[in-house]
Amino acid sequence: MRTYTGVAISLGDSVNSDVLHPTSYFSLNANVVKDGLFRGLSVPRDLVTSDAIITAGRNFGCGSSREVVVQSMKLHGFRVVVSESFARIFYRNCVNLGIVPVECPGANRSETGDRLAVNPVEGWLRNETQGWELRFEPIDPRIIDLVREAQGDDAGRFG
Amino acid sequence: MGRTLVEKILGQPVDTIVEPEIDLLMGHDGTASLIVDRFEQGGYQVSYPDRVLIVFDHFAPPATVERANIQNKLLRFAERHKLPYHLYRGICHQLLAEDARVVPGRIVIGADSHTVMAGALGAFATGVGSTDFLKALTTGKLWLRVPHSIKVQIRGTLPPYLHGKDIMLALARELGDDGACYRCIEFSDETETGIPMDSRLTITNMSVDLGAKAGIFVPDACTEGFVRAKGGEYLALAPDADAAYERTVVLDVTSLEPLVALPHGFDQIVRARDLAHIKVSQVFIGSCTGGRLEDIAAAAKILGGAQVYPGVKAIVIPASTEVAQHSIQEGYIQTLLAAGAIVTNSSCGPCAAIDKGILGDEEVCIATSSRNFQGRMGSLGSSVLVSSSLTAAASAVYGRICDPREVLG
Repeated sequence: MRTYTGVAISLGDSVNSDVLHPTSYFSLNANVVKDGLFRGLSVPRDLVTSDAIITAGRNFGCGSSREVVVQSMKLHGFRVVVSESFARIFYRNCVNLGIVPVECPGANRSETGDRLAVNPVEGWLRNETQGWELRFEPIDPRIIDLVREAQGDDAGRFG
Repeated sequence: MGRTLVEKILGQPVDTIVEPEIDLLMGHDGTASLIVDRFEQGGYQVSYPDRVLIVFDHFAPPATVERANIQNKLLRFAERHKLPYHLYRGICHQLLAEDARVVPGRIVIGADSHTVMAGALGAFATGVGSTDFLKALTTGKLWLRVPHSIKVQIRGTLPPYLHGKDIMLALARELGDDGACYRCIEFSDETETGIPMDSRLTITNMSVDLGAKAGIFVPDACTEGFVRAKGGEYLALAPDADAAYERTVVLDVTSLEPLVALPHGFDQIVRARDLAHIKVSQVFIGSCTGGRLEDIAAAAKILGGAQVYPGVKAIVIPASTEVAQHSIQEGYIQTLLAAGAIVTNSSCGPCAAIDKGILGDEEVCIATSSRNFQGRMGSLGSSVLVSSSLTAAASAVYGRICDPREVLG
Protein backbone atom coordinates (compact mmCIF):
# COMPACT_ATOMS: atom_id res chain seq x y z
CA MET A 1 0.00 0.00 0.00
CA ARG A 2 1.39 3.31 -1.09
CA THR A 3 2.12 6.57 0.70
CA TYR A 4 -0.79 8.98 0.57
CA THR A 5 -0.12 12.73 0.39
CA GLY A 6 -2.60 15.55 0.74
CA VAL A 7 -3.97 18.48 2.71
CA ALA A 8 -5.28 18.10 6.27
CA ILE A 9 -8.84 18.78 7.30
CA SER A 10 -8.45 18.82 11.06
CA LEU A 11 -11.45 17.81 13.18
CA GLY A 12 -11.78 17.38 16.93
CA ASP A 13 -12.78 14.61 19.35
CA SER A 14 -16.01 12.59 19.04
CA VAL A 15 -17.00 14.17 15.73
CA ASN A 16 -20.25 12.36 15.04
CA SER A 17 -21.94 11.15 11.89
CA ASP A 18 -24.80 13.65 12.25
CA VAL A 19 -22.51 16.68 11.89
CA LEU A 20 -20.30 14.93 9.32
CA HIS A 21 -23.36 14.34 7.16
CA PRO A 22 -26.71 15.72 8.42
CA THR A 23 -29.71 13.43 7.81
CA SER A 24 -31.28 16.02 5.51
CA TYR A 25 -28.69 14.84 2.96
CA PHE A 26 -29.71 11.18 3.27
CA SER A 27 -30.52 10.09 -0.27
CA LEU A 28 -29.96 7.51 -2.97
CA ASN A 29 -28.92 10.39 -5.26
CA ALA A 30 -25.12 10.58 -5.42
CA ASN A 31 -25.07 14.35 -5.92
CA VAL A 32 -27.12 14.97 -2.79
CA VAL A 33 -25.04 12.52 -0.74
CA LYS A 34 -21.78 14.07 -1.98
CA ASP A 35 -22.96 17.58 -1.18
CA GLY A 36 -23.85 16.63 2.41
CA LEU A 37 -20.30 16.07 3.62
CA PHE A 38 -19.29 18.30 6.57
CA ARG A 39 -22.57 20.29 6.38
CA GLY A 40 -22.81 20.29 10.18
CA LEU A 41 -19.26 21.59 10.56
CA SER A 42 -17.26 24.66 9.50
CA VAL A 43 -14.88 23.16 6.95
CA PRO A 44 -13.62 25.38 4.10
CA ARG A 45 -15.34 24.00 0.98
CA ASP A 46 -12.28 24.60 -1.22
CA LEU A 47 -10.39 21.99 0.81
CA VAL A 48 -13.03 19.31 0.23
CA THR A 49 -11.27 17.65 -2.70
CA SER A 50 -9.75 14.27 -3.51
CA ASP A 51 -6.56 15.66 -1.98
CA ALA A 52 -8.07 15.96 1.49
CA ILE A 53 -6.92 13.86 4.43
CA ILE A 54 -9.09 14.06 7.55
CA THR A 55 -7.12 14.13 10.79
CA ALA A 56 -9.32 13.75 13.82
CA GLY A 57 -9.20 13.18 17.55
CA ARG A 58 -10.59 10.22 19.44
CA ASN A 59 -13.86 8.40 18.70
CA PHE A 60 -14.16 9.67 15.13
CA GLY A 61 -17.45 8.94 13.36
CA CYS A 62 -19.44 8.07 16.49
CA GLY A 63 -23.22 7.80 16.37
CA SER A 64 -25.33 6.58 13.49
CA SER A 65 -24.38 3.65 11.24
CA ARG A 66 -25.57 5.54 8.12
CA GLU A 67 -23.15 4.54 5.39
CA VAL A 68 -23.93 7.64 3.31
CA VAL A 69 -21.44 9.44 5.59
CA VAL A 70 -18.53 7.39 4.25
CA GLN A 71 -20.10 7.24 0.77
CA SER A 72 -19.90 11.04 0.65
CA MET A 73 -16.17 10.90 1.49
CA LYS A 74 -15.71 8.29 -1.22
CA LEU A 75 -17.60 10.44 -3.72
CA HIS A 76 -15.21 13.31 -3.00
CA GLY A 77 -12.30 10.93 -3.67
CA PHE A 78 -10.98 10.64 -0.08
CA ARG A 79 -8.55 7.70 0.16
CA VAL A 80 -7.46 7.73 3.79
CA VAL A 81 -8.73 9.02 7.15
CA VAL A 82 -6.34 9.47 10.07
CA SER A 83 -7.71 9.57 13.60
CA GLU A 84 -6.58 8.93 17.16
CA SER A 85 -9.37 6.36 17.43
CA PHE A 86 -12.51 5.42 15.53
CA ALA A 87 -16.05 4.50 16.44
CA ARG A 88 -16.35 0.88 15.32
CA ILE A 89 -19.20 1.03 12.79
CA PHE A 90 -17.60 4.03 11.08
CA TYR A 91 -14.31 2.11 10.94
CA ARG A 92 -16.01 -0.88 9.32
CA ASN A 93 -17.83 1.37 6.85
CA CYS A 94 -14.49 2.92 5.78
CA VAL A 95 -12.95 -0.52 5.29
CA ASN A 96 -16.00 -1.75 3.37
CA LEU A 97 -15.95 1.22 1.00
CA GLY A 98 -12.21 1.11 0.39
CA ILE A 99 -11.09 4.11 2.47
CA VAL A 100 -8.08 3.35 4.68
CA PRO A 101 -8.80 4.11 8.36
CA VAL A 102 -5.48 4.87 10.09
CA GLU A 103 -5.31 4.93 13.87
CA CYS A 104 -2.55 7.30 14.90
CA PRO A 105 -2.27 8.74 18.43
CA GLY A 106 -1.35 12.42 18.19
CA ALA A 107 -2.82 12.83 14.69
CA ASN A 108 -4.96 15.65 15.99
CA ARG A 109 -1.91 17.95 16.26
CA SER A 110 -2.32 18.71 12.56
CA GLU A 111 -4.13 21.86 11.54
CA THR A 112 -6.44 22.36 8.62
CA GLY A 113 -4.40 23.18 5.52
CA ASP A 114 -1.20 21.38 6.63
CA ARG A 115 0.57 19.24 4.02
CA LEU A 116 0.57 15.58 5.09
CA ALA A 117 2.05 12.26 4.02
CA VAL A 118 0.96 8.98 5.56
CA ASN A 119 1.90 5.36 5.00
CA PRO A 120 -0.56 2.95 6.65
CA VAL A 121 1.60 -0.15 6.16
CA GLU A 122 4.92 1.32 7.25
CA GLY A 123 3.16 3.12 10.10
CA TRP A 124 4.15 6.77 9.85
CA LEU A 125 2.44 10.14 9.50
CA ARG A 126 4.50 13.14 8.42
CA ASN A 127 3.29 16.73 8.78
CA GLU A 128 5.40 18.57 6.22
CA THR A 129 4.04 22.00 7.18
CA GLN A 130 4.81 21.67 10.90
CA GLY A 131 7.88 19.48 10.34
CA TRP A 132 7.16 16.46 12.52
CA GLU A 133 6.65 12.75 12.06
CA LEU A 134 4.64 10.31 14.17
CA ARG A 135 4.93 6.53 14.21
CA PHE A 136 1.92 4.32 14.76
CA GLU A 137 1.21 0.60 14.79
CA PRO A 138 0.91 -0.47 11.13
CA ILE A 139 -2.56 -1.37 10.01
CA ASP A 140 -3.55 -5.05 10.40
CA PRO A 141 -2.83 -6.91 7.11
CA ARG A 142 -6.29 -8.48 7.30
CA ILE A 143 -7.82 -5.01 7.26
CA ILE A 144 -5.61 -4.04 4.31
CA ASP A 145 -6.92 -7.09 2.43
CA LEU A 146 -10.52 -6.06 3.10
CA VAL A 147 -9.83 -2.47 1.98
CA ARG A 148 -8.20 -3.73 -1.22
CA GLU A 149 -11.11 -6.06 -1.86
CA ALA A 150 -13.52 -3.15 -1.44
CA GLN A 151 -11.45 -0.93 -3.74
CA GLY A 152 -11.57 -3.71 -6.34
CA ASP A 153 -15.31 -4.05 -5.98
CA ASP A 154 -15.74 -0.29 -6.21
CA ALA A 155 -18.18 -0.86 -3.38
CA GLY A 156 -18.80 2.83 -2.82
CA ARG A 157 -20.49 3.28 -6.16
CA PHE A 158 -24.12 4.11 -6.58
CA GLY A 159 -26.41 2.45 -9.00
CA MET B 1 -9.29 -19.04 32.43
CA GLY B 2 -13.05 -18.57 32.65
CA ARG B 3 -15.12 -16.96 29.93
CA THR B 4 -17.18 -13.79 29.83
CA LEU B 5 -20.71 -13.81 28.47
CA VAL B 6 -19.63 -12.60 25.03
CA GLU B 7 -16.83 -15.16 24.85
CA LYS B 8 -19.40 -17.87 25.56
CA ILE B 9 -21.86 -16.64 22.93
CA LEU B 10 -19.22 -16.14 20.23
CA GLY B 11 -17.48 -19.36 21.27
CA GLN B 12 -13.90 -18.04 21.27
CA PRO B 13 -11.56 -16.08 23.57
CA VAL B 14 -11.05 -12.32 23.25
CA ASP B 15 -9.34 -10.90 20.16
CA THR B 16 -10.13 -13.98 18.05
CA ILE B 17 -11.63 -13.18 14.66
CA VAL B 18 -14.81 -15.22 14.32
CA GLU B 19 -17.38 -15.49 11.56
CA PRO B 20 -20.51 -16.77 13.27
CA GLU B 21 -23.82 -17.70 11.69
CA ILE B 22 -26.31 -14.90 12.23
CA ASP B 23 -29.56 -15.91 13.92
CA LEU B 24 -31.41 -12.75 12.96
CA LEU B 25 -30.42 -9.96 10.56
CA MET B 26 -32.28 -6.65 10.61
CA GLY B 27 -32.23 -3.75 8.18
CA HIS B 28 -34.54 -0.75 7.81
CA ASP B 29 -35.65 1.85 5.27
CA GLY B 30 -32.75 4.16 6.18
CA THR B 31 -30.01 1.53 5.78
CA ALA B 32 -31.12 -1.59 3.88
CA SER B 33 -32.42 0.64 1.08
CA LEU B 34 -28.82 1.55 0.23
CA ILE B 35 -27.95 -1.95 -0.98
CA VAL B 36 -30.96 -2.80 -3.16
CA ASP B 37 -29.33 -1.86 -6.48
CA ARG B 38 -25.96 -3.36 -5.53
CA PHE B 39 -27.70 -6.60 -4.59
CA GLU B 40 -29.66 -6.86 -7.83
CA GLN B 41 -26.77 -5.85 -10.08
CA GLY B 42 -24.40 -8.21 -8.30
CA GLY B 43 -26.66 -11.17 -8.97
CA TYR B 44 -26.68 -12.17 -5.29
CA GLN B 45 -28.99 -14.55 -3.46
CA VAL B 46 -30.31 -14.17 0.08
CA SER B 47 -28.78 -17.00 2.08
CA TYR B 48 -31.52 -17.43 4.71
CA PRO B 49 -34.61 -15.27 4.02
CA ASP B 50 -36.34 -16.51 7.19
CA ARG B 51 -33.49 -15.14 9.32
CA VAL B 52 -33.99 -11.61 7.95
CA LEU B 53 -36.28 -8.87 9.21
CA ILE B 54 -36.83 -5.66 7.26
CA VAL B 55 -38.44 -2.81 9.21
CA PHE B 56 -40.04 0.35 7.86
CA ASP B 57 -39.72 2.77 10.76
CA HIS B 58 -37.57 5.74 9.78
CA PHE B 59 -39.84 7.08 7.05
CA ALA B 60 -43.02 5.85 8.65
CA PRO B 61 -44.97 7.10 6.84
CA PRO B 62 -42.80 9.09 4.38
CA ALA B 63 -42.92 12.89 4.46
CA THR B 64 -41.31 13.52 1.05
CA VAL B 65 -41.57 12.06 -2.45
CA GLU B 66 -37.95 10.94 -2.37
CA ARG B 67 -38.40 9.05 0.90
CA ALA B 68 -41.59 7.45 -0.42
CA ASN B 69 -39.62 6.25 -3.45
CA ILE B 70 -36.78 4.93 -1.27
CA GLN B 71 -39.25 3.09 0.93
CA ASN B 72 -41.13 1.61 -2.03
CA LYS B 73 -37.88 0.39 -3.51
CA LEU B 74 -37.07 -1.52 -0.31
CA LEU B 75 -40.64 -2.78 0.04
CA ARG B 76 -40.55 -4.24 -3.49
CA PHE B 77 -37.13 -5.74 -2.71
CA ALA B 78 -38.47 -7.45 0.42
CA GLU B 79 -41.46 -8.80 -1.50
CA ARG B 80 -39.33 -9.98 -4.43
CA HIS B 81 -36.96 -11.95 -2.19
CA LYS B 82 -39.62 -13.09 0.28
CA LEU B 83 -38.00 -11.28 3.20
CA PRO B 84 -40.24 -10.93 6.27
CA TYR B 85 -40.96 -7.30 7.02
CA HIS B 86 -42.83 -5.01 9.40
CA LEU B 87 -44.49 -2.01 7.78
CA TYR B 88 -45.31 0.73 10.30
CA ARG B 89 -45.41 -1.57 13.33
CA GLY B 90 -42.83 0.33 15.34
CA ILE B 91 -39.12 1.03 15.72
CA CYS B 92 -36.85 -1.81 14.60
CA HIS B 93 -35.12 -2.25 17.97
CA GLN B 94 -38.38 -2.43 19.89
CA LEU B 95 -39.69 -4.96 17.36
CA LEU B 96 -36.55 -7.07 17.90
CA ALA B 97 -37.13 -6.94 21.67
CA GLU B 98 -40.70 -8.13 21.10
CA ASP B 99 -39.58 -10.85 18.62
CA ALA B 100 -39.70 -14.37 20.11
CA ARG B 101 -36.43 -15.27 18.33
CA VAL B 102 -34.39 -12.71 20.27
CA VAL B 103 -33.41 -14.69 23.36
CA PRO B 104 -30.25 -15.40 25.40
CA GLY B 105 -27.29 -16.73 23.42
CA ARG B 106 -28.51 -15.68 19.96
CA ILE B 107 -26.53 -13.54 17.53
CA VAL B 108 -28.42 -10.53 16.18
CA ILE B 109 -26.91 -8.21 13.58
CA GLY B 110 -28.66 -5.02 12.52
CA ALA B 111 -27.95 -2.23 10.08
CA ASP B 112 -28.44 0.40 12.76
CA SER B 113 -26.18 1.40 15.63
CA HIS B 114 -28.77 0.89 18.36
CA THR B 115 -29.12 -2.83 17.52
CA VAL B 116 -27.09 -3.36 20.70
CA MET B 117 -30.37 -2.92 22.58
CA ALA B 118 -31.28 -6.60 22.08
CA GLY B 119 -28.45 -7.44 24.49
CA ALA B 120 -30.88 -6.72 27.34
CA LEU B 121 -32.30 -10.16 26.56
CA GLY B 122 -28.92 -11.91 26.83
CA ALA B 123 -28.31 -11.98 23.07
CA PHE B 124 -25.14 -10.78 21.37
CA ALA B 125 -26.42 -7.91 19.25
CA THR B 126 -24.46 -5.32 17.32
CA GLY B 127 -24.88 -2.69 14.63
CA VAL B 128 -23.23 -2.50 11.22
CA GLY B 129 -23.38 -0.37 8.08
CA SER B 130 -25.08 -1.16 4.80
CA THR B 131 -22.21 -3.03 3.10
CA ASP B 132 -21.85 -5.34 6.09
CA PHE B 133 -25.62 -5.83 5.92
CA LEU B 134 -25.27 -6.81 2.26
CA LYS B 135 -22.51 -9.30 3.06
CA ALA B 136 -24.53 -10.76 5.94
CA LEU B 137 -27.63 -10.98 3.76
CA THR B 138 -25.82 -12.98 1.10
CA THR B 139 -23.60 -15.19 3.29
CA GLY B 140 -25.55 -15.49 6.54
CA LYS B 141 -22.36 -14.63 8.41
CA LEU B 142 -20.30 -11.64 9.56
CA TRP B 143 -16.70 -11.35 10.71
CA LEU B 144 -16.21 -9.99 14.22
CA ARG B 145 -13.39 -9.68 16.69
CA VAL B 146 -14.38 -11.11 20.07
CA PRO B 147 -14.37 -8.04 22.31
CA HIS B 148 -12.88 -7.46 25.72
CA SER B 149 -15.51 -6.90 28.39
CA ILE B 150 -16.22 -4.28 31.01
CA LYS B 151 -18.29 -5.62 33.88
CA VAL B 152 -20.93 -3.29 35.31
CA GLN B 153 -22.54 -4.46 38.55
CA ILE B 154 -25.66 -2.46 39.36
CA ARG B 155 -26.46 -2.54 43.07
CA GLY B 156 -28.66 -0.93 45.71
CA THR B 157 -32.34 -0.03 45.59
CA LEU B 158 -33.81 1.69 42.55
CA PRO B 159 -35.96 4.65 43.71
CA PRO B 160 -39.29 5.31 41.90
CA TYR B 161 -37.98 8.58 40.44
CA LEU B 162 -35.21 6.85 38.50
CA HIS B 163 -35.22 4.89 35.25
CA GLY B 164 -32.63 2.94 33.28
CA LYS B 165 -31.79 6.20 31.52
CA ASP B 166 -30.47 7.71 34.76
CA ILE B 167 -28.38 4.59 35.39
CA MET B 168 -26.90 4.80 31.90
CA LEU B 169 -26.19 8.54 32.18
CA ALA B 170 -24.39 7.80 35.45
CA LEU B 171 -22.31 5.18 33.63
CA ALA B 172 -21.63 7.61 30.76
CA ARG B 173 -20.36 10.11 33.34
CA GLU B 174 -18.04 7.40 34.64
CA LEU B 175 -16.77 5.98 31.33
CA GLY B 176 -17.13 8.87 28.86
CA ASP B 177 -18.54 8.74 25.33
CA ASP B 178 -15.93 6.27 24.10
CA GLY B 179 -15.08 4.55 27.37
CA ALA B 180 -16.44 1.26 26.05
CA CYS B 181 -15.10 1.60 22.49
CA TYR B 182 -14.89 -1.86 20.85
CA ARG B 183 -15.78 -3.47 24.22
CA CYS B 184 -18.73 -5.49 25.42
CA ILE B 185 -20.40 -4.04 28.50
CA GLU B 186 -21.60 -6.96 30.59
CA PHE B 187 -24.31 -5.76 32.98
CA SER B 188 -25.50 -7.67 36.00
CA ASP B 189 -28.58 -6.60 37.91
CA GLU B 190 -27.66 -7.06 41.57
CA THR B 191 -30.18 -4.54 42.89
CA GLU B 192 -32.63 -5.31 45.71
CA THR B 193 -35.59 -4.07 43.70
CA GLY B 194 -34.61 -5.40 40.29
CA ILE B 195 -34.36 -3.31 37.16
CA PRO B 196 -37.44 -3.72 34.94
CA MET B 197 -36.88 -5.02 31.40
CA ASP B 198 -37.95 -1.72 29.80
CA SER B 199 -35.19 0.07 31.72
CA ARG B 200 -32.67 -2.65 30.87
CA LEU B 201 -33.47 -2.14 27.19
CA THR B 202 -32.76 1.59 27.57
CA ILE B 203 -29.45 0.76 29.23
CA THR B 204 -28.21 -1.66 26.55
CA ASN B 205 -29.57 0.61 23.82
CA MET B 206 -27.20 3.37 24.89
CA SER B 207 -24.16 1.13 25.26
CA VAL B 208 -23.27 2.08 21.67
CA ASP B 209 -23.28 5.71 22.75
CA LEU B 210 -20.34 4.83 25.01
CA GLY B 211 -18.71 3.18 21.98
CA ALA B 212 -19.54 -0.43 22.84
CA LYS B 213 -19.76 -3.25 20.32
CA ALA B 214 -22.36 -4.89 22.55
CA GLY B 215 -24.10 -4.42 25.89
CA ILE B 216 -25.43 -7.61 27.43
CA PHE B 217 -27.38 -8.21 30.62
CA VAL B 218 -26.60 -11.49 32.36
CA PRO B 219 -29.87 -13.41 31.91
CA ASP B 220 -31.85 -13.86 35.14
CA ALA B 221 -35.41 -14.40 36.37
CA CYS B 222 -36.50 -11.06 34.85
CA THR B 223 -35.10 -12.11 31.46
CA GLU B 224 -36.71 -15.53 31.73
CA GLY B 225 -40.13 -14.05 32.54
CA PHE B 226 -39.93 -11.61 29.62
CA VAL B 227 -38.67 -14.20 27.13
CA ARG B 228 -41.27 -16.83 28.09
CA ALA B 229 -44.09 -14.27 27.99
CA LYS B 230 -43.28 -13.53 24.32
CA GLY B 231 -43.11 -17.24 23.51
CA GLY B 232 -39.33 -17.40 23.26
CA GLU B 233 -36.95 -20.14 24.26
CA TYR B 234 -35.06 -19.33 27.46
CA LEU B 235 -31.45 -20.37 27.88
CA ALA B 236 -29.70 -19.90 31.21
CA LEU B 237 -26.36 -18.33 30.42
CA ALA B 238 -23.81 -16.90 32.82
CA PRO B 239 -20.21 -15.78 32.71
CA ASP B 240 -17.67 -17.92 34.57
CA ALA B 241 -16.72 -16.71 38.04
CA ASP B 242 -13.06 -16.40 36.98
CA ALA B 243 -13.76 -14.64 33.67
CA ALA B 244 -11.32 -11.82 32.86
CA TYR B 245 -12.62 -8.26 32.64
CA GLU B 246 -10.73 -5.23 31.47
CA ARG B 247 -12.46 -3.19 34.13
CA THR B 248 -15.21 -3.57 36.71
CA VAL B 249 -17.58 -0.77 37.64
CA VAL B 250 -19.94 -1.00 40.60
CA LEU B 251 -22.89 1.39 40.34
CA ASP B 252 -24.99 1.86 43.46
CA VAL B 253 -28.29 3.39 42.40
CA THR B 254 -29.71 4.02 45.89
CA SER B 255 -28.51 7.60 46.17
CA LEU B 256 -28.38 8.37 42.45
CA GLU B 257 -30.31 11.48 41.39
CA PRO B 258 -32.18 12.16 38.12
CA LEU B 259 -29.58 13.14 35.53
CA VAL B 260 -29.53 15.14 32.31
CA ALA B 261 -26.94 15.20 29.51
CA LEU B 262 -26.32 18.77 28.38
CA PRO B 263 -25.78 19.60 24.70
CA HIS B 264 -23.95 18.54 22.51
CA GLY B 265 -22.49 15.28 23.81
CA PHE B 266 -21.95 13.28 26.97
CA ASP B 267 -19.17 15.37 28.45
CA GLN B 268 -21.53 17.28 30.76
CA ILE B 269 -23.96 15.08 32.66
CA VAL B 270 -25.50 16.89 35.62
CA ARG B 271 -28.34 16.62 38.12
CA ALA B 272 -31.77 17.66 36.80
CA ARG B 273 -32.34 19.76 39.92
CA ASP B 274 -29.36 21.96 39.05
CA LEU B 275 -30.92 22.94 35.70
CA ALA B 276 -34.19 24.57 36.79
CA HIS B 277 -33.07 27.77 35.04
CA ILE B 278 -33.18 26.13 31.58
CA LYS B 279 -36.47 26.70 29.75
CA VAL B 280 -37.59 24.18 27.13
CA SER B 281 -39.58 24.76 23.95
CA GLN B 282 -40.20 21.08 23.25
CA VAL B 283 -40.45 17.81 25.13
CA PHE B 284 -39.99 14.55 23.21
CA ILE B 285 -40.90 11.26 24.85
CA GLY B 286 -40.21 8.47 22.39
CA SER B 287 -37.52 6.70 20.31
CA CYS B 288 -35.95 3.25 20.64
CA THR B 289 -34.25 4.51 23.80
CA GLY B 290 -37.20 6.01 25.65
CA GLY B 291 -40.59 5.17 24.13
CA ARG B 292 -41.54 1.95 25.90
CA LEU B 293 -44.57 1.24 28.11
CA GLU B 294 -42.54 2.24 31.19
CA ASP B 295 -41.91 5.64 29.57
CA ILE B 296 -45.48 6.25 28.43
CA ALA B 297 -46.74 5.18 31.88
CA ALA B 298 -44.31 7.58 33.56
CA ALA B 299 -45.40 10.43 31.32
CA ALA B 300 -49.07 9.70 32.03
CA LYS B 301 -48.42 9.52 35.77
CA ILE B 302 -46.68 12.89 35.82
CA LEU B 303 -48.99 14.65 33.36
CA GLY B 304 -52.17 13.13 34.83
CA GLY B 305 -54.36 15.98 36.07
CA ALA B 306 -51.75 18.51 34.97
CA GLN B 307 -51.31 20.51 31.79
CA VAL B 308 -48.35 20.89 29.47
CA TYR B 309 -46.83 24.32 30.14
CA PRO B 310 -48.19 27.01 27.79
CA GLY B 311 -46.22 27.27 24.56
CA VAL B 312 -44.33 24.02 25.07
CA LYS B 313 -44.65 21.39 22.34
CA ALA B 314 -45.01 17.95 23.94
CA ILE B 315 -44.64 15.00 21.56
CA VAL B 316 -45.12 11.40 22.67
CA ILE B 317 -44.33 8.47 20.35
CA PRO B 318 -44.85 4.90 21.57
CA ALA B 319 -41.96 2.75 20.31
CA SER B 320 -44.19 0.13 18.71
CA THR B 321 -47.79 -0.60 17.88
CA GLU B 322 -47.82 -3.09 20.76
CA VAL B 323 -46.65 -0.36 23.16
CA ALA B 324 -49.26 2.00 21.71
CA GLN B 325 -52.04 -0.58 22.16
CA HIS B 326 -51.06 -1.26 25.77
CA SER B 327 -50.89 2.47 26.39
CA ILE B 328 -54.42 2.88 25.08
CA GLN B 329 -55.69 -0.04 27.18
CA GLU B 330 -54.12 1.44 30.30
CA GLY B 331 -55.65 4.87 29.59
CA TYR B 332 -52.24 6.57 29.28
CA ILE B 333 -52.95 8.02 25.85
CA GLN B 334 -56.19 9.60 27.00
CA THR B 335 -54.36 11.15 29.96
CA LEU B 336 -51.58 12.51 27.76
CA LEU B 337 -53.99 13.98 25.23
CA ALA B 338 -56.04 15.57 28.01
CA ALA B 339 -52.85 17.16 29.34
CA GLY B 340 -52.17 18.79 25.97
CA ALA B 341 -49.51 16.45 24.58
CA ILE B 342 -49.78 14.99 21.11
CA VAL B 343 -49.29 11.29 20.46
CA THR B 344 -48.10 10.26 17.01
CA ASN B 345 -47.72 6.88 15.33
CA SER B 346 -44.90 4.50 16.24
CA SER B 347 -41.76 5.49 14.33
CA CYS B 348 -38.33 7.03 14.90
CA GLY B 349 -40.00 10.43 14.73
CA PRO B 350 -37.81 13.52 15.16
CA CYS B 351 -34.94 11.68 16.89
CA ALA B 352 -32.56 11.93 13.93
CA ALA B 353 -34.19 15.03 12.42
CA ILE B 354 -36.16 12.84 10.04
CA ASP B 355 -39.82 13.22 10.84
CA LYS B 356 -42.34 15.50 12.50
CA GLY B 357 -41.08 17.32 15.56
CA ILE B 358 -37.98 18.89 13.99
CA LEU B 359 -36.45 21.74 16.02
CA GLY B 360 -36.10 25.27 14.69
CA ASP B 361 -33.28 27.71 15.41
CA GLU B 362 -32.53 28.30 19.09
CA GLU B 363 -35.07 25.75 20.27
CA VAL B 364 -34.33 23.72 23.39
CA CYS B 365 -35.73 20.20 23.62
CA ILE B 366 -35.56 17.73 26.46
CA ALA B 367 -35.74 14.26 24.95
CA THR B 368 -35.82 10.66 26.09
CA SER B 369 -33.82 9.58 23.04
CA SER B 370 -30.11 8.85 23.34
CA ARG B 371 -28.32 11.46 21.26
CA ASN B 372 -27.89 15.17 21.79
CA PHE B 373 -25.38 15.91 19.03
CA GLN B 374 -25.54 19.38 17.52
CA GLY B 375 -28.41 19.45 15.01
CA ARG B 376 -29.51 15.93 15.95
CA MET B 377 -33.19 16.91 15.97
CA GLY B 378 -33.11 19.75 13.46
CA SER B 379 -31.43 23.14 13.26
CA LEU B 380 -27.72 23.32 14.05
CA GLY B 381 -28.78 26.22 16.26
CA SER B 382 -31.06 24.07 18.42
CA SER B 383 -30.15 22.13 21.56
CA VAL B 384 -31.15 18.72 22.85
CA LEU B 385 -30.90 17.61 26.47
CA VAL B 386 -31.25 13.91 27.18
CA SER B 387 -33.07 12.59 30.25
CA SER B 388 -35.45 9.91 31.51
CA SER B 389 -39.13 10.08 30.60
CA LEU B 390 -39.89 11.03 34.22
CA THR B 391 -37.63 14.09 34.01
CA ALA B 392 -38.87 14.96 30.51
CA ALA B 393 -42.54 14.77 31.55
CA ALA B 394 -41.92 16.86 34.67
CA SER B 395 -40.19 19.42 32.46
CA ALA B 396 -43.27 19.50 30.22
CA VAL B 397 -45.39 20.54 33.22
CA TYR B 398 -43.11 23.40 34.26
CA GLY B 399 -41.72 24.48 30.88
CA ARG B 400 -38.22 24.16 32.27
CA ILE B 401 -35.90 21.34 33.28
CA CYS B 402 -37.51 19.75 36.31
CA ASP B 403 -36.42 17.01 38.69
CA PRO B 404 -39.36 14.55 38.73
CA ARG B 405 -39.34 14.56 42.54
CA GLU B 406 -40.82 18.09 42.35
CA VAL B 407 -43.93 16.56 40.79
CA LEU B 408 -43.97 13.11 42.40
CA GLY B 409 -43.41 14.58 45.85
